[in-house]
Amino acid sequence: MSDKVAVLGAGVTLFERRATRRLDEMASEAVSLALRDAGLSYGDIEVAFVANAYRSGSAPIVFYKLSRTGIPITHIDIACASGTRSIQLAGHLIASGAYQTCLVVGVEIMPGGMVPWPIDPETVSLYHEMMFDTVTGLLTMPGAYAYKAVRYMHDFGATPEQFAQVAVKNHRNSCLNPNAMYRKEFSIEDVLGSRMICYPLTLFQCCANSNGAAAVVLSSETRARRHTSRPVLLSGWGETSMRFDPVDPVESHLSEGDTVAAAAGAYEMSGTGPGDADLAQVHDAFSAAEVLQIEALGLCGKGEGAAFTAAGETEIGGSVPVNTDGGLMGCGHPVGASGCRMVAEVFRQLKGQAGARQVEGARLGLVQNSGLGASNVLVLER
Amino acid sequence: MTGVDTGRETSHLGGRLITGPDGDPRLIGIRCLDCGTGAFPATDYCPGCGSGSLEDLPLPRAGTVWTYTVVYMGGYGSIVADPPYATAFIELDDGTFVHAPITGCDPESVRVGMEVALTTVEAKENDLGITLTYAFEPAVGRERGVGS
Repeated sequence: MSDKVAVLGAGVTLFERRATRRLDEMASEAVSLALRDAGLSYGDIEVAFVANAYRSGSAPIVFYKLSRTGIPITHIDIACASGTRSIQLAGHLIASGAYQTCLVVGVEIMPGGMVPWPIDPETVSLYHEMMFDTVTGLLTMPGAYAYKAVRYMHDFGATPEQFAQVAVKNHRNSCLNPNAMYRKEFSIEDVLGSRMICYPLTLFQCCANSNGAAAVVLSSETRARRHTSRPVLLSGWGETSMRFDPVDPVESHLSEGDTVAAAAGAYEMSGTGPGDADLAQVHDAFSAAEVLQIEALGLCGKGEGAAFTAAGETEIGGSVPVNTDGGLMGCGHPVGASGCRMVAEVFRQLKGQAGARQVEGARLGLVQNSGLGASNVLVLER
Repeated sequence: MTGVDTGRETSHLGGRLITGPDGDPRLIGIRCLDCGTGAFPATDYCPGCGSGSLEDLPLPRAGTVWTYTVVYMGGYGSIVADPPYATAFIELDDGTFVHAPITGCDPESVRVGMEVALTTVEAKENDLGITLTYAFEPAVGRERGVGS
């Protein structure tokens, strides 16, 4: 048998710069919030995933105190995309009829400072290639998007000011989200005047590490209809990982082709298109990333994303609001939790429960979440 | 990672870079014998099709900057230059993309489309035992054409 997949509840903790609670405590809080939101108890959950990048053994750690009901628990890690990958896997399990209810909790306590590479020379041969790129100054996280931004400015005449507008918007949106880490407004002068990290990206155009958890409860549509007459459906999703294009090196290094492919899958599965989207949550690890991702999703034409953003089209109240909860830029980025936080925000918007940041009449929302060459795209509808 | 001298040429960086008797540098990538994919740096398996049938591919020395950034912060420190330093994706004359530092100019003067050629750089002290590495520097006209 097969069934449609519903999102039944979601919960997000405060994202904080310094963790005041421990991994299992934050996960428990997010799970409790999500279960209460769904109207379920832990005993109703048939299968569960933990999305987390920095703590091996997360599944037993997170669930030991929560409950030991004997259900299959699994740790999923594809870096920053772990949360949405877990939700997609839950979707496959429910759509197949194998399970009726699934819990996904993303949680992270980030290591301090710059994100370390989780590899060492004794066990990983790739270490030597990565260390060469690292010590010769080639490998930086902001640099990866700075390259795309520079080429984009060259090809389409975009300006650093247009990219900076993403940071202004997302920080402003975070002021409307009590769970966001920053909740502080920055002017375009503040953003452009902050320290240059990798040209053209300044400090305030780079997301910061944070600590927190977010949980999502999924179920079959049949099961969801026992709780609500108008469930939020996870109607489509697409998933990719790093791809080497033998014909086009540009595609391999410098494009958002992974998102284009994931979006095509999500739109086909849901029978929708970019024109149906009322809002989107995208992976704004760096300001330029948001511009490129909204184009890859088809929310505007290629080369138009920077001007589209600068014109206010992605503001709350614009034609397609993007990162209404502040995104990675405003919320901070607890790697394993971010994908679940994105899905939780779209769920909240479609339920009409987003408070001061509510997008009026939102019926269809997109999520795009990147992680080490992977891109996941999800369509939620109500 | 130290050089291996065969008399005719010296291999550096595990074969990624060779220098001739006159010091002329050359980058070595791979070409897949099954699907024709070219790539740099060399890999054990073709990144396009997974084949293990690969041959070494000496790359042209000249190319143009396809995109770049100037790193002020956010790096882990470089054995090539102190920040701010420029790094770039360079499209070589045969179409291969190479990711490399740009040296020999003010980093803020680097532009998309700038003509560059391969050069070698004495590495700063490091734990990996690298003594010589490579970068690209501005080059035009006859200078640029040498060896390409």
